[in-house]
Amino acid sequence: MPKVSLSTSIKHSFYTPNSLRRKNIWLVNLRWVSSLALSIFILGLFFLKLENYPYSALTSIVIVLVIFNSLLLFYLKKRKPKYLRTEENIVLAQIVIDYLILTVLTHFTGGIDSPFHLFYLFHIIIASVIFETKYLAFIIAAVAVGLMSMLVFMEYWQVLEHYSSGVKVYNLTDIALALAVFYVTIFVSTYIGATLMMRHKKVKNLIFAQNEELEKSEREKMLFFRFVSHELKSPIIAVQSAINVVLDVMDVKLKPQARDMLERGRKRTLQMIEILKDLVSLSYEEKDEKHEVEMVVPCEHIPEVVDYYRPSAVEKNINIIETVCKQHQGFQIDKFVFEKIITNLISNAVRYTPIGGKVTIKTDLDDKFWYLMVSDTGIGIPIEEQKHVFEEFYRASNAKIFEAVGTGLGLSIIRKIVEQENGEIFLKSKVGKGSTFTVRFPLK
Amino acid sequence: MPKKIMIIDDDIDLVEAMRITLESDGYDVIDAQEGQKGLEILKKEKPDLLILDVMMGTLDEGFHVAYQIRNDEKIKDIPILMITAVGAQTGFKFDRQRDEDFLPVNEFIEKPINPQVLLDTVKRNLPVA
Repeated sequence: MPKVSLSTSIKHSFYTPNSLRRKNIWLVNLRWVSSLALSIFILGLFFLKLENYPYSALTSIVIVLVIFNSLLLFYLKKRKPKYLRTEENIVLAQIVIDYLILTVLTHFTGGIDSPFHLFYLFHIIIASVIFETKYLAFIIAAVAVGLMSMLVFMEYWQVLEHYSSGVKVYNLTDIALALAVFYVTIFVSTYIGATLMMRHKKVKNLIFAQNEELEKSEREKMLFFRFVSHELKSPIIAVQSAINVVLDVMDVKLKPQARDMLERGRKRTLQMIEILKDLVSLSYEEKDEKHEVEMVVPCEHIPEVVDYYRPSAVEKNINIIETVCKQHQGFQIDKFVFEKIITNLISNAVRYTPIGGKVTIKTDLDDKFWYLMVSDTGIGIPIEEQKHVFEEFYRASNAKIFEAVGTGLGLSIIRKIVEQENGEIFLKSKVGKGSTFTVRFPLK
Repeated sequence: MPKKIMIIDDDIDLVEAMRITLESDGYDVIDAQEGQKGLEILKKEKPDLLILDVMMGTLDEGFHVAYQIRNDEKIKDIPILMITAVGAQTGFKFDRQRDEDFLPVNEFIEKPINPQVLLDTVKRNLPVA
């Protein structure tokens, strides 16, 4: 069993430069929206004829926002995301500049009375989502609190003017209460946001780590599997070679019974070798780096494969019929994969078709798929067993009687390969009449 | 003079089976169980043809032996038949036309070896004296 360590020590950066860049762009877009919203807000104030707002200052803020955003966007478009650090710094810079602008906006819309001071919360949430460390979110929260306090007290000490549509109630108790609520809101939000995010990141890291472990153990298992198959194959090949020599080379007089027993032995070793070969191809990930991918137009490839099977078909007096292959301009398939699929289907068809039968290879085409159909007039597959034939090691009951030797792996391998190529495989069969296997691949 | 055939393969049972098969057809057979040892014997004995296993000590020892032979002026013309189960092992099929360029052997024989196929392949690849 693969041992999966539950440690979170493997650090996976939660973001890549690219994903953080997307966050940066997202912040830029958010700023466009805020500029627009602020413009509408100013227009609203204007139409409501609220006199005590400094329109020119507010309009300047919009202009500053737009200029800053355009410059930032220009910078981001020009420089490709490369380092995580840089992208993090850009986020940080955006937050700081936003805070400065927001403080100015809060000032001109009433300081402690301004509804805009709630917007300080947004960046805290953004910071706790983006930054790996909790403390950065708290620093940003502190910056928000500091800026707000500074503003409020400067207005209180009348270093700055206090703009308000309402009555100017400005005693120290009111200010203290309002600021206290603000502090609590900010820090509690930061705490909740950062804690949740840390937990989320931890879980994600854990999943990453486990996945990596699993993949590794899977790879190791496959290697072991191949190694074992090879180790098993060598002795069985030696056994078979020994039997071959006795039966085919040595000029020994064997009793018919002895010869028969050796023939049986030979047949069984052959079976074993076939099983091992199938096991290896089952373990082998088709897409791995081992085989060079060579794309072929399937129609150009079918005759070659069919010719290969003609001799064994002729032996059983089976006629292999190829209908005209339907091509689609541009549809190609991995040669290795295609060969594997079609050879398996044809050899199955020939194997399970009685003497004098017929195997037909047909192709078809519609807007979405290319189809390959291999039909035979063979023994067929009982309906209740059809859903199992693609399972590993499954052999239909009548197949076992008709052909003693077989691994029950062929079809499961085909299905695996077909699915790896985004294709599908279907079966239509009737006992005593024959079977048709249809494989289809998407054209794009 | 009977033709001399050398087998380099680490599986002595396979070597024995091939030896009996080849001797039945009148060949002289010499063998080695390991690549470097085999090369030494090969240089000394100068067989008419070499049957070489791919996977011996390492997965591709046979390939290295084949390269060394082809790069040695004195023995580079010896025909090499490579026995392989690689086709099934690694999933890549040897395509003769394509692979000859980088793998300097005359022909591949896939394991398990059928005696008649072995004899036919040997005969086909022996240099005409």
